[in-house]
Amino acid sequence: MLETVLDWVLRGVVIAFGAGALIALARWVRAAIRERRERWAIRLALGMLLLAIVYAVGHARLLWNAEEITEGRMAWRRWGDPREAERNRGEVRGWILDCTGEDGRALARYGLREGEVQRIFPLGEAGANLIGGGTGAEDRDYTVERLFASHLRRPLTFGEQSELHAVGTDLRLTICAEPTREAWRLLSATGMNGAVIVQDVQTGALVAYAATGRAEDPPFGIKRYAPPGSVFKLAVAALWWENDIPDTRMPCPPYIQTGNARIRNFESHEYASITIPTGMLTVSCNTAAVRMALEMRQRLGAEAFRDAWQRFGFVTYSAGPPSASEDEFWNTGNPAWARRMTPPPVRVRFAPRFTAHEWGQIAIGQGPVDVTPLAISRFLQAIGNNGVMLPPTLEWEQLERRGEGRRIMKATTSRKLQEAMLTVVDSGTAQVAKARFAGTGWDLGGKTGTADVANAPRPDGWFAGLMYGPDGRARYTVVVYMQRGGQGGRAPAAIAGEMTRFMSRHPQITTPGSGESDVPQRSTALAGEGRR
Amino acid sequence: MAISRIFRRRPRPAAAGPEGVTVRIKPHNLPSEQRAGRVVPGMLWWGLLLAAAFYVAAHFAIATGVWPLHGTSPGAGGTFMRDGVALVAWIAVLVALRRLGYRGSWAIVVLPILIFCMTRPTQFQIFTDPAYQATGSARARANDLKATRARLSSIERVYSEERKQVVYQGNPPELPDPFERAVEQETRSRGFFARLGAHFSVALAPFALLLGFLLSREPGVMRWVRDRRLIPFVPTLGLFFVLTIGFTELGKVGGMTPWELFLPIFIVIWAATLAEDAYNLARPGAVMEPRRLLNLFLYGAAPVIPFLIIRELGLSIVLAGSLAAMLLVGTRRGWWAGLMLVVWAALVVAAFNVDERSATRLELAYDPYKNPAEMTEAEQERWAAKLHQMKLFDANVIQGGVLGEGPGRGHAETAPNAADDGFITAIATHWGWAGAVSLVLLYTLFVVQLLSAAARESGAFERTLVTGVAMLIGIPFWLAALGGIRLIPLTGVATAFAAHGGAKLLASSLAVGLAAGVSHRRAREEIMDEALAPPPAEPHAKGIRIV
Repeated sequence: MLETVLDWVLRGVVIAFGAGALIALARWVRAAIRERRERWAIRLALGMLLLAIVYAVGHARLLWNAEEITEGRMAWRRWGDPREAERNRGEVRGWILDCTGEDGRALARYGLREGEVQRIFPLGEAGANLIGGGTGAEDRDYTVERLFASHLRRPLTFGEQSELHAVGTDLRLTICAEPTREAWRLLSATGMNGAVIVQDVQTGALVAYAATGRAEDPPFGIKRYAPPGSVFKLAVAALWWENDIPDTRMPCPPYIQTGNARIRNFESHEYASITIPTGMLTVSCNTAAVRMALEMRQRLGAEAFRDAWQRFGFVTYSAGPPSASEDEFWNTGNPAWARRMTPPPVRVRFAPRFTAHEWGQIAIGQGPVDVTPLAISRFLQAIGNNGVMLPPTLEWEQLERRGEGRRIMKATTSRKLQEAMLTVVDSGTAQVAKARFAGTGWDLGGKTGTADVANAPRPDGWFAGLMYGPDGRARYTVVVYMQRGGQGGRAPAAIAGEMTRFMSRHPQITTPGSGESDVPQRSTALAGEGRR
Repeated sequence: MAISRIFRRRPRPAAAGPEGVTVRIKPHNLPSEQRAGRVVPGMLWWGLLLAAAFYVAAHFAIATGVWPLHGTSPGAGGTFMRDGVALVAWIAVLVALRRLGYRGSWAIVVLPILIFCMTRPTQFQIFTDPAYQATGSARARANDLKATRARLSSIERVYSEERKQVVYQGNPPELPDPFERAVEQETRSRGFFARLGAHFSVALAPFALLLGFLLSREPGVMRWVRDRRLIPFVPTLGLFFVLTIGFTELGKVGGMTPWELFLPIFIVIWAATLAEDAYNLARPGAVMEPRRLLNLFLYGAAPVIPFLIIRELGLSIVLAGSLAAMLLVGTRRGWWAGLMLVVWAALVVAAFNVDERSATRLELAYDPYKNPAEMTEAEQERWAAKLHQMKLFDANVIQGGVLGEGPGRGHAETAPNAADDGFITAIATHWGWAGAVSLVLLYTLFVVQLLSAAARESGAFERTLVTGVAMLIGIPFWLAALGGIRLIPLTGVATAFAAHGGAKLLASSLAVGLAAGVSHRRAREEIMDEALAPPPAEPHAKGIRIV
């Protein structure tokens, strides 16, 4: 404490020297000009003053460009950076705590390893893609450990400010260690690349995140685009219900002729008659989805699609694909995180003059539609939250600043979608998941997706769903994306089922969605601010 | 206030004379024209007091806040003592000057002390760091131990017992001491004289200033130099050539860089040359005479050549720049400046085209962070080695932010040469943008005061000499300060009073002493002129107007 005060006094003295020198210089120049002293001396003195100004501006320029310079420095870190090495080895950062806030479950902490106190990431590879540690930790510039460095280094107390190695401040995340570990276990058992995301429906908090991916790849579940396949049919169904078009029966032929091309069902399945939209979702009928889309274009006009996509948080484009990310995607207090980890926008190429075939491709998520697993999770969160979309949250203390959210669909639409999703697991394409959580009292609804990728031997597999607690309330979203993972109704659906079972068997985990009292409630002062 | 009295005018015993009432007037009640030059002006006095307090407090903060965490280098205690002695020595020199009746500009004597006090704690921290002076594997090992010790100490200081239990899962490991490993390496790597020189130059610098003052306060010594300048010049230049050609390895002689010690001598001799021939040098026609051209080459250009031989481009710029400024001030002809600018620009272009090291430095200043992905592996290795120092200087500046990390905090010592080439970045780490700019302003004031003292001189010799001293101190400062923040390429020159460099400190102190002596003489002459001036004429009636 006393040392901190001394430090500030010394800083004050240094500044006083500068101020005194400035006053003396100003006086000298004034006197020299007034007294008409030697011109060369005045010129040289003014030159010196100019250099002092140049220095001040030049120094400020480095501070202004600090981020860019640090990035450049980091690019060369591999060839040795004793400062980083010393700092990393000597500093005591704050711990990264999981949703429980318990030291024993910390996601990043200190511990003894080989006789030396080291930074430990107990999740290991499970947390490598988000928290830090694991293989390639040095090269991953997007982890919590890296992007929240200034928070973790912020001196814990006023007294710590003067310390050479100030002990940093802890950061509590909404991520829970156990579900994340389980998600990783399930994902890595498949041996495929992919991501598993669990998000709290009521708060938008990210509860579990596990993803594969090399250090040099963009974070798999957050920033990597993938075709959504049939998962996108949820948006088509939502549009149907949003416009109060009544449910109707329709055949599900094995293919549909759209102009000169055909769009087929997966493995050319066919059903004599299904109720749309629920039946279309349950059996994931491509041909019915295409017919729905064409019918809606005729009845509502193309603009209705554009409006709906934009309301759902998707960006439509007609010329070049948009690259600008959504400004307030995350509910975060950390600009570095927002800047680096905001996913690229879900984008749908849209032109009113699209051919029937192009229109149909979008309806089944195979056309020019690009999504990220996290963006799909956010869409599902809105479905589970009666149509109100909340920004994903990673920092525990940000939960109270989550705002009221943004209504993207009617409550009736979200209810109908939920019912349809439950049917998908109960009797549709995701039945494989059902056995996994049977007897737990929990339920799972969702939509499978199988997206063909050009030149790939196998399609990408998706399961995007909602977990329901014993009270029937939607608790968590669960998004499983597996690159070249094959049918969404197989491994991805099975993983979602396993995750549901896991969540149901660990009620002791204080997740943001578990209804425990220490989950920060939304601040009333911020309630009127909308999303943030 | 007892210390304050030392610097104030001592009461003199009453002169023998008729009895009466003795009236003692306190110095601050003297009229300003009588007081001028005899007492340290108020602002400087308070600055000095504040600087001394800052010096002591900052050393204390480092010894109590940094040492326990990082451990110390061999001889850290000695460095602590040495810095204490240096402070006492500087104060003693001020007392001595006061006793010697110094009447010149106090600013040119006090400001370097202020700068020294402000920057020395940073040097102290860097040189007492256990790893800074070590090299190779010993440095890496010392760094490891230092970091381990820091982490354990921090955990012990702050963590609760429960959290410590989670960390240690049992008993805590032993606190390592990086000291021993560093001692071993340090003792091997540096020779006895190098260590002795490094240690004593700091404490001897105040006395060098006093020596300079004593040499120049009376006209005799300077007059001798002016009249017989070839006698000191030839052996000095000869020794310079011999050392640079025969005994220099990577710019050093026996691990030391004595080059700076030559500079004040060349400055004095060049001032003498200009004083003798300034009138002719101001006329283009007269300059072309063979004898004059020989003089220009011998005294003005020959001293720069050895620096070029050992590729000390920075010091060659300092010397050539100082000599050029003196020429300009001595002759008062602008065309000299134009000519020299052209020559200088040509040399710079040539250096960057011919000398690979200069070209690299230019690239390092303006485009350091190239994309490694666009290079071959060999190119990456080469560039990484070159970039190493600069990227750590950048890190120093950025870490300091606006207000700095505090005394000795922030790991400035991890940058190679943080105490000399990158001294401004180390200051920036400890005191931030505000501290670095404060130092720059203080230094600017110091150089301006030297120029001001030069401008007061009426003699060509004194005027050019003090200008030379100002440039000798000012140019390296700007080269190092602007180079540290990548506004210009790094030149590797040391900065007087603010950066590490024993020879530089001694040479600069001597040069400042010379300037102080000249300034003292000038003030004394002004007083004598005033005393000998005829009394103002009595007003007398010019006539009678009859209305």
